[in-house]
Amino acid sequence: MKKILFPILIVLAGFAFTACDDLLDAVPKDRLTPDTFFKNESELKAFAIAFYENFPAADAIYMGNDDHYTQNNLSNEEMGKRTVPASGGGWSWGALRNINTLLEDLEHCDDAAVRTKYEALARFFRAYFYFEKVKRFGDVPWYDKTVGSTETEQLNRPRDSREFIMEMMVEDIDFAIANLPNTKSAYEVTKWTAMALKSRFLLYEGTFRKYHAGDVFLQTLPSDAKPYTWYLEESAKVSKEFIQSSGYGLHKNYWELFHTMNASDLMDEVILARDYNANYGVIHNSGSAQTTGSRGCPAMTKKLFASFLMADGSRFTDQAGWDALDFMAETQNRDPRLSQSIRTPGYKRMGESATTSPDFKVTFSGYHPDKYLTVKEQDTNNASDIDIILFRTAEVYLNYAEALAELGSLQQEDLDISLNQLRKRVGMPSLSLAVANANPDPFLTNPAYGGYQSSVLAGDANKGVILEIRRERGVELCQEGFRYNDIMRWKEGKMFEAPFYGMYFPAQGVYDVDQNGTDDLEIFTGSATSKTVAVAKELGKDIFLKGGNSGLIVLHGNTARNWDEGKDYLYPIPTDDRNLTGGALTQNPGWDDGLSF
Amino acid sequence: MLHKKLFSALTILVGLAVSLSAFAQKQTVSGTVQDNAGPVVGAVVQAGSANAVTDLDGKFSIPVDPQAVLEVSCLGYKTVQVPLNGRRQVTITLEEDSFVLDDAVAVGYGTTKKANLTGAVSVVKAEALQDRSALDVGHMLQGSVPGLNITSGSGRPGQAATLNIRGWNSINGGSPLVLIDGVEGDIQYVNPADVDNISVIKDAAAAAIYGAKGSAGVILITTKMGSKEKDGRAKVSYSGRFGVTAPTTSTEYESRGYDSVYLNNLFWSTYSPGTKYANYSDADMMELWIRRDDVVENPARPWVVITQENGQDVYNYYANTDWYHVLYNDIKPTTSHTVTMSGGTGAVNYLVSGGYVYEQGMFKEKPDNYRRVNLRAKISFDVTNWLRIGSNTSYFNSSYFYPGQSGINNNFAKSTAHALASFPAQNPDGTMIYTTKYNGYELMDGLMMILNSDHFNQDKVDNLSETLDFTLTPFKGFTVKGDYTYALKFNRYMNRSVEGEYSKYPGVVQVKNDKDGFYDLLTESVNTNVYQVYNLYTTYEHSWADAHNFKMMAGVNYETRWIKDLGLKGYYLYSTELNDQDLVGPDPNDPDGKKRQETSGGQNELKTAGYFARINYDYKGKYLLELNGRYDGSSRFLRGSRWVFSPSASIGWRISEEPFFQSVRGWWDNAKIRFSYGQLGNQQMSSYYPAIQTISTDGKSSYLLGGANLPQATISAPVSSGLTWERSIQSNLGVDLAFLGNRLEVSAEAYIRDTKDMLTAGEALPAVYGASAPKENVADLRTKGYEFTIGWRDTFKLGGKPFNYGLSVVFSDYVSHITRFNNPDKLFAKTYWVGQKYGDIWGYHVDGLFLTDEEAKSYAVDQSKVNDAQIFPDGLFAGDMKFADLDGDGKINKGAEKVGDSGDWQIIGNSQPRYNYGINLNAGWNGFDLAVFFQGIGHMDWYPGADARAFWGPYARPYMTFIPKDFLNDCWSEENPNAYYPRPRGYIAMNANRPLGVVNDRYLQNIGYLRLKNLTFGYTLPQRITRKASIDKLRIYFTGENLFYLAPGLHGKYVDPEMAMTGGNLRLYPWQKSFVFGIDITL
Repeated sequence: MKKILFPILIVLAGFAFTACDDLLDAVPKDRLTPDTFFKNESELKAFAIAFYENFPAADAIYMGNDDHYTQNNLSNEEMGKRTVPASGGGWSWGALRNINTLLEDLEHCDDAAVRTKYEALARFFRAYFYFEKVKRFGDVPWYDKTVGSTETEQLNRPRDSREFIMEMMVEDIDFAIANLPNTKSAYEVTKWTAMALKSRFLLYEGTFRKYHAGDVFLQTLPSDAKPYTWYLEESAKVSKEFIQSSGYGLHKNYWELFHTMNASDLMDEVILARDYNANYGVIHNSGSAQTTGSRGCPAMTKKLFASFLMADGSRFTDQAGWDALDFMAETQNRDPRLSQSIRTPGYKRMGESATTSPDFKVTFSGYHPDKYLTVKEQDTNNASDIDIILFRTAEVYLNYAEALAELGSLQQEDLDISLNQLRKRVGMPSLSLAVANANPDPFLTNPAYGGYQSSVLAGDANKGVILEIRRERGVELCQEGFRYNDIMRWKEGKMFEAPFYGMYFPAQGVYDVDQNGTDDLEIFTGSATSKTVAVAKELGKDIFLKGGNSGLIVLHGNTARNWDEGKDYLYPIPTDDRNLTGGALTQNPGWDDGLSF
Repeated sequence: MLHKKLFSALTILVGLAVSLSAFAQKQTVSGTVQDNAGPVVGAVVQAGSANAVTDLDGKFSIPVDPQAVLEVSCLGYKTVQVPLNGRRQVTITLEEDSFVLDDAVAVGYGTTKKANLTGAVSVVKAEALQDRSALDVGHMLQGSVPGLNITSGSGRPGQAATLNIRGWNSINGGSPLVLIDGVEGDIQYVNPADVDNISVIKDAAAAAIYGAKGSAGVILITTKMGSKEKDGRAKVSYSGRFGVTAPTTSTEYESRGYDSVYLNNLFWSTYSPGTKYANYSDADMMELWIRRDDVVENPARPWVVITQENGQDVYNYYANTDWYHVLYNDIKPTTSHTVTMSGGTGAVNYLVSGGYVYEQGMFKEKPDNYRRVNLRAKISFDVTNWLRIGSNTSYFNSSYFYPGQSGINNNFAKSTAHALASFPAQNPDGTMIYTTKYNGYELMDGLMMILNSDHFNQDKVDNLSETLDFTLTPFKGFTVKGDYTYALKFNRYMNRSVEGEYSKYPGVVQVKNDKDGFYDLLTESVNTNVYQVYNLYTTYEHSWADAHNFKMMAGVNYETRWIKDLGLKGYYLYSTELNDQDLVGPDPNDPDGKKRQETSGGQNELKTAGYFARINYDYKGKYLLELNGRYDGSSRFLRGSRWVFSPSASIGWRISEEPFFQSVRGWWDNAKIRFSYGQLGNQQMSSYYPAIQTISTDGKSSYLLGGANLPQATISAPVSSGLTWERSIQSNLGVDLAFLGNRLEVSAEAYIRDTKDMLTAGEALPAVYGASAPKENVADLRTKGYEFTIGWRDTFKLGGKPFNYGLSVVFSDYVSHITRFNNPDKLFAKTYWVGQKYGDIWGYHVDGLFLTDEEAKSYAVDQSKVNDAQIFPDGLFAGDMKFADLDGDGKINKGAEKVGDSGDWQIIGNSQPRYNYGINLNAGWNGFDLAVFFQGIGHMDWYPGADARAFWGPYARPYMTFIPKDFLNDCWSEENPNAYYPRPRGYIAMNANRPLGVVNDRYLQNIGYLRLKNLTFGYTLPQRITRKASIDKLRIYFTGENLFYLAPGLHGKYVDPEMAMTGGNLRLYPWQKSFVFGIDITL
């Protein structure tokens, strides 16, 4: 028996030991590994394309939720209802890891020119990434390489001062400006995008430092921090260089900027846009959001509406009784951009010959937004594919004027090469520095309408022109995603506490606000009377008027709002991350997360 | 045996009476029934309607036709059939049926006698499956084996069962290894009619021979084989079934337009004051009201009225549409057929079988349907007396056709929203409704448009498996077996979508082609899976001195699996009905009119090897010892971390074989105690290359950069290079007892399973790490459980005929705790902590609803924030939930978010199924048979998930298509203060930061249930009749599956408890019951 058993066992054993590891090696055949990737431009591009996802989604741009554009539900920021999250809340760092991965693995590419180009692109996005973080959290830890899971010291790093972050961002963006292609592109980041970004974040930092000087939010600045003026000067410098050397100017028609399906047709002004194309399922919701009535009822507020000048350059709000005009009257002879931003009487939708009225189902102030609203076919859910502008020349013009005005060095010719170009495009008279400073607009600082209250501004010799630049920024860049951050850097959060208003109605009744022959709204008590009106709202329930039975629509009724000057300019750090770092990550001022460290 | 004699004394009297009444014209046949030890008393001898019982000497006589076939049965023996062939005098020897003690039980790479088992193995015989009308073996096993848990992901035809043995195996999951005739396979691919027996291996000792593959248990399925019993004649059997299926839950939804609009608007406006979901004016509501009771359209009050608005014709909808029954059928046909032919002659044994299953699904317009074909051919040749060669070929084909978008459950998801009962199923001119004048929403997100167009999907699986094997037996006691298997599987999927057509204004047809689901697009994919197995093993058996029995087995196993994906997409086809990539036409968006076609790929590979050995030794069948060991390697891990050894040992003591036990042997037949201990590796994980960081380039960027879906490269999460096997260490204690002539059998197991070195995100890392924490082998888990089976069976005479009946109960339970996890502070943020009981549900205590606004306003606790979220932004009102401030700090929160300091957050339940049970009753008499099978779970908590619309109704979203009839009776109002749900308010169950989304004990459900899983009633025609048509056996029966359930802790009648067990948002294919008539014919 054993004679047979043993040979067979030996055969089996032999098979066993020859088999072993050689038969068990398997490597992926449909994927590459980091060691074998990043070899050439197409591989770098495929990896870097994800960086572009750092740019805001379309709805963050066409859907404002601030004092100029609002929705029927106020944001938690406006109501003072933000809380400390356990995780997330903007404290996400995956995008940075990707950027640093590319920077570390660039060495696999043999082509030096390509390496430089992609280093520049990655560093542009690193600056962009940190700009977003600084706006939201103030001080944040700086990482310029990927961190290993066991590098506890790095993972538990405390926050770096925003002064240091800015220094690094400037290094990154300067490298990007020097090394990104200077060929214009509607959709890809170029040298010009980098300059526009630099103009934007330095203006942000300069004005933030100026208006928040002495605030808790700047307590951690090192003693040798550069003065705010340095940031404004650098911002103005890069803006001016852009204005003089980029070759970008203004597109001839303001309305077309927001009603042209492809930004590649707007390359005279648009520096960078996000490409949407329904053929590839890359779509957004601007059509549905602005025609549906269940997606927030986006609306322009009276405050922004009233700040549009008259067509002759005079102030609308200087007229007696401006706040008791009916819609027909108040829309006459205004800055043409008004009727290019909202529905005014005689409004026609893109591609249509019939007129369309403001729809009170869809917009609850009566001032029905129109930017990025295209043809009716794109009104259904997720059916819009008009490109969304991320950077355009007009902003750089306004950054330039504002930086100089805040520095106190603004000259009339500076206005003429920047802000007044915007006025010229729409046929508005130019802004005169002297006139503006001689007669600051009282409406823009009127607390009853949520005007600017900052004492820093009040004491500024350039107050008049600064107010005019802010007006222009509101008018020109409305519904383009700037307003909330502007308020943060100007330290005007208290504005959110003032009531937001809409259209004026003298009494209950049925209204054809644009006088086109069809009734648009009935305001009633008890029960509605009209059989034909599109929308009926019950007074005191569905709609509130400032004077009770008459007056401006009071948006959001009595919803409580509370802005905490000692806390609300920055967001809280999530508690999980504070816990995991054992408190090395400090909480932002004023936020109580219940943790003892 | 004493009891046998007592019993037989009684039966002799009955037997005599029967004999006396026998008809004289038949001839009398007499004989003796015996076993190895001598005469068998009390055996029932039956031939047609005549029967007799053996006397004290084992003798009987019976008046029958000398060509008849005698059936001799006796408790404790196997029933035999003896053809008389003209004989008048017979001696019949019965084989003891020691209640399967001597049955061969399939274990890894061999069989063993049940008596000698030392591990935890349960056996299911073919008979337990044969009448079940569930479509697949997996579902049939539900409730039949203690410790084997079967669940289902949905109720669709052809949905595969999910198998689990003894609960939570690992943080990383893991499912049992299923072996079909020794080759890893999918339990769904087995024709239930082919199954001879199933062994469920539950402990490490028995599974260790499968090493790393067996850590979550093993299910061995052995298919039938032909035998030479019938003297070379083929045995042919046919089984056919015809029946219907129907939903297990109520399908009665609000179909009155008025109520549908009213309810949705009510829930909408309480969330968003001053606005309506559907802009029906008061006049419109009046129109709906006057039609409220029109079940069908009354010509005097049409459901669609065309009026003019702003110079344009518009549709006004005033319908009463029962959307559920517009979309779905309640009653659907199902049918199946199986033919088996088997036999053996000379050196050849064979079995050939074929099966066909068809089940139609719920969809009305283009019914979904599942078809399955099974073929099997098994043959074995005795080439010489020392060599046998065999072949086992099986083919499985299934096809599931369904309408709508990809993923059948997506249809159910879409159907839940935006179709008011006031909208008709279609416009009067037959066009579809997509958007209406009442709001900007799309009816069912376009589902009706999709269902009524050429959209469809087809899911096909082909699985062909061939095993060649040889058995060498050079001399007695020594065998060498080898086999090779090649299994080829294709999963083919096809989806066709077309542009949508709808009409919002009378006479104006619009086309929708601008987004996913509405492209003119043909998607096809093929997944090829090639699986090869090589096994070679040898067995040596030897006994000496009539006391020592020795058996050893050793072998090797090597397996490879290669998987390749190929995907194709072609846009803009020349036809909407023909479907082929060759029909792709020009892309209208391409300036040059080029074709738009996209492809995708992907492949994976897995190789494993194992060396295994087993030694069995027993002394006189009393003291049993088994040793197992296996050394496993897997390509999932890198060299150096690749191999794992899985050893195990088990011992058994058959106390009933001891001399001292003889005193009780009269009523106590068997007693065995056994214990096992062993360790297994576990390599189950979804990734094929978990130890390698990769960059995949198959992605397409949704950021276009002015181009068309540019390529995107994505790096996988960082990995830990030292990644290696998880291990599972198990000990199992079991007893097997039998009493009263094996009438009562009890088998019980208790076990502890430690899962060690589980792969998990080692340690939560700060978010600045920028990726999910890499997995490492850093966690342990302990599961403790027990299970038992109690069975009783007996026979007595009723009306002169033997009445057989049996009752068996299986029961199991287990609890798992985390025993190692790096989370010393027990922070919730890190998900797990030491001591955590798996499945615990944390939540708040809700102290009822506020009765009045005053009570709500004056509630001393700050309930404006719960869970740090603003869940009552507009303040509190009567009918809102009142969260209890358990820690008295005036706030509702989780404290420091850790165990021990969790504020008002406490454990309110556990989501693990407790007390799994099955109860089987069966009886047979005079050709009739009855089987009743209950299955259930004693207790399981479930918190209805956020947006689980079938549970929350319009509380989830205020635009529900399906609102339970009389739903308002369940909603709080001043008149209905004791209602179940809070005050009507939309969206409050939509996500976790809304009042109903916050887990709380008021809405926690106990989904423990009792289900009548199967009821079968059959009748077998007497053989004396069927024989005339040369039919051995003809049986007709009714069988019903899932006939009803009781779930007293689950609110409402619209959610099946097993659907709730899926734990998700319930937007799934509903669970079904079936009513089936069948016929079995054996020639």
